[in-house]
Amino acid sequence: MPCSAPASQLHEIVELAPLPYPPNPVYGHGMWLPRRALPALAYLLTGVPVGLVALVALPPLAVTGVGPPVLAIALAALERRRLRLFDARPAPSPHRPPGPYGPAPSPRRPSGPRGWLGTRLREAVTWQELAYAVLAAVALWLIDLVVAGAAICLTALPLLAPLLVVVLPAGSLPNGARLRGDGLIWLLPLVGVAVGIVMGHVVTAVAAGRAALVRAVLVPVDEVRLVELTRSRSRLVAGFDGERRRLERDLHDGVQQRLLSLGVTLGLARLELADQEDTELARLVVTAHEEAKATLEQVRGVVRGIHPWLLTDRGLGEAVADLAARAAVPVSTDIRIDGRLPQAAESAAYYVVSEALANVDRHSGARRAAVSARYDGRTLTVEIRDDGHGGADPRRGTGLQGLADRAGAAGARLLVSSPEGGPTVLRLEVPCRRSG
Amino acid sequence: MPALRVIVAEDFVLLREGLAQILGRFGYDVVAQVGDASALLAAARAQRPDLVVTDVRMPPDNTDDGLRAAIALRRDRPGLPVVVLSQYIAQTYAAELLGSDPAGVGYLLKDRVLDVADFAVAVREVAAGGTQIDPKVVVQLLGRHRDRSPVASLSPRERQVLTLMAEGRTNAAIARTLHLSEQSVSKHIAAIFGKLGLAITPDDNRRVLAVLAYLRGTAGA
Repeated sequence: MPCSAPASQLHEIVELAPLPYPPNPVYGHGMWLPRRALPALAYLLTGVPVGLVALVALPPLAVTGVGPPVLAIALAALERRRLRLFDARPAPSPHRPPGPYGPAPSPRRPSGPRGWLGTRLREAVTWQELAYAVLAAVALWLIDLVVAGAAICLTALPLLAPLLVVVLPAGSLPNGARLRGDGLIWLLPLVGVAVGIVMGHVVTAVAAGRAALVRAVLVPVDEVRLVELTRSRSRLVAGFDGERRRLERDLHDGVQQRLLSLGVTLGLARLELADQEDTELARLVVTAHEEAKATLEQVRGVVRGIHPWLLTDRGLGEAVADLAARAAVPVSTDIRIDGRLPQAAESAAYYVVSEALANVDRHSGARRAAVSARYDGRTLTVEIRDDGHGGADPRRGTGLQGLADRAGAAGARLLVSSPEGGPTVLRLEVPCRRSG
Repeated sequence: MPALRVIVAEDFVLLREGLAQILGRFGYDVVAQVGDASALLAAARAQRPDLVVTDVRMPPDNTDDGLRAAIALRRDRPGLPVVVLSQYIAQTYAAELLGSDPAGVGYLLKDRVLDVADFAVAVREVAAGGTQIDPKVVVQLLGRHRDRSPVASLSPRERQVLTLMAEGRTNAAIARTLHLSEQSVSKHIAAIFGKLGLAITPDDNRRVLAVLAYLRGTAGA
């Protein structure tokens, strides 16, 4: 069975790409105009005074040294507020908050205005804000002014032309008399509407660009936090993996070997007692021996659940082949990976395949399944497909969400397609690079 | 006949001594007991044993060192009987060990050692050039080919018989295990061979090899 689904059929369970918020919905369309063309216009128009303030105030403040950064911080705060005109998503300050969460005052970092300034001057984002202030002073306000002005004038003039021609004294408008004479003047408002629609799009596009710039330069905090969150989750998972490996090794080196030698001793004892099978002693030894065997079997099951030893020893290909061989339904494998991949990637892929095959057994009603894996030098892609009845829903506790969380911690994406009636395709994409 | 000379390799001392005890009790001469793969290679060179019994996971790497040592030993001395004990069953290990010549190879789950008498029988088979593959491996191999004809066409009973055959059991032993008459076992075997398209040979060992070769040959297909 083919083992690759068109990406369009897959929907994502979780994506941990550094997208702090969903895309700004402002560019959704109304009937003719972008839904938020007027907020966009307001956003651009209010940008002009901000830039002018920067233009006028920055050069004289420069002689004070700390003046420009302080002004830049204030302007940036204003810009983040102004962003709300156009973009409803939150735009929190990237600066470290004062108070208990900020850096503690110390002899080298005094409290009060000097402390505040010292902290701010050490923050990279302050210098980004200064760069933004300079840009706003020399260029942004001009763009705002030209685009907003052009939009207003080019729309309003034709729209209001008949009124203007009537109201204004003759001769104050070029060609006014001729326009009135031709009757063309009454068509101009239609032109105004058309230009207005076009300019609405232009204004919205420029405002979206401006807002994106503000977000990129002045609101970087959430990406930072998200990346850090991903990192800390990765550390946590790596920590668990390490702990599980240690636990498995301890069980293997300790409990299992001791149980084995206990079993061997009991087995030898049973052999010695072979000629007196009817005695109570022989019966007790037989019971103890059987008990030891059952315990070993159980411990082996537990240990296998704790950590996949074959994965550690032989890598993803053989470990997945082993999983496939153990599955209740026939599973074909097509693993094309040369050599070993980073431990976190192998581990994430292994657990996804393991859980996916368990789901196939438990939920899908599938008669067969297929696992494929590819590595293209940058991304490990693993796909598990079954011919079951589909309808796997991440929100209904089929273990998919847990898998997605685990995948997310490894920086991976987990995608699923499971229409009612099947088939179910689960795809994991793990970005990873081989070391060395 | 002089006692067969055996090397036992196992990193856990208590178990190593247990193994030596079992082998000693069944008349083998344990000439060396070692705790890691390098020591096993050195001892095998020095002692020229008739049989090697080794654990898979051993120092120095604590991965599949014992398995690699066993394969290396058989490369140096083709046909050297080795019994490899594994904490877990992996087809890939079995396949690597069997290599091109499955004669004198044993691959068993460590737990099998607990059934001391059965283990001794398995070791004797391997020492005599036979093949002993843990039933779990065979079950996995069969499971893997459930969907594929011709193995898919086997009846459950024939499947059981095939599994026992792959373990190297005789017709009589299979009959005892499944509570069948030897005649019906022979009939099942004939049916299996028919379905798998294998020639019937009187030699039990070749019969096992044929089955294994069939399973191995299709495992990667």
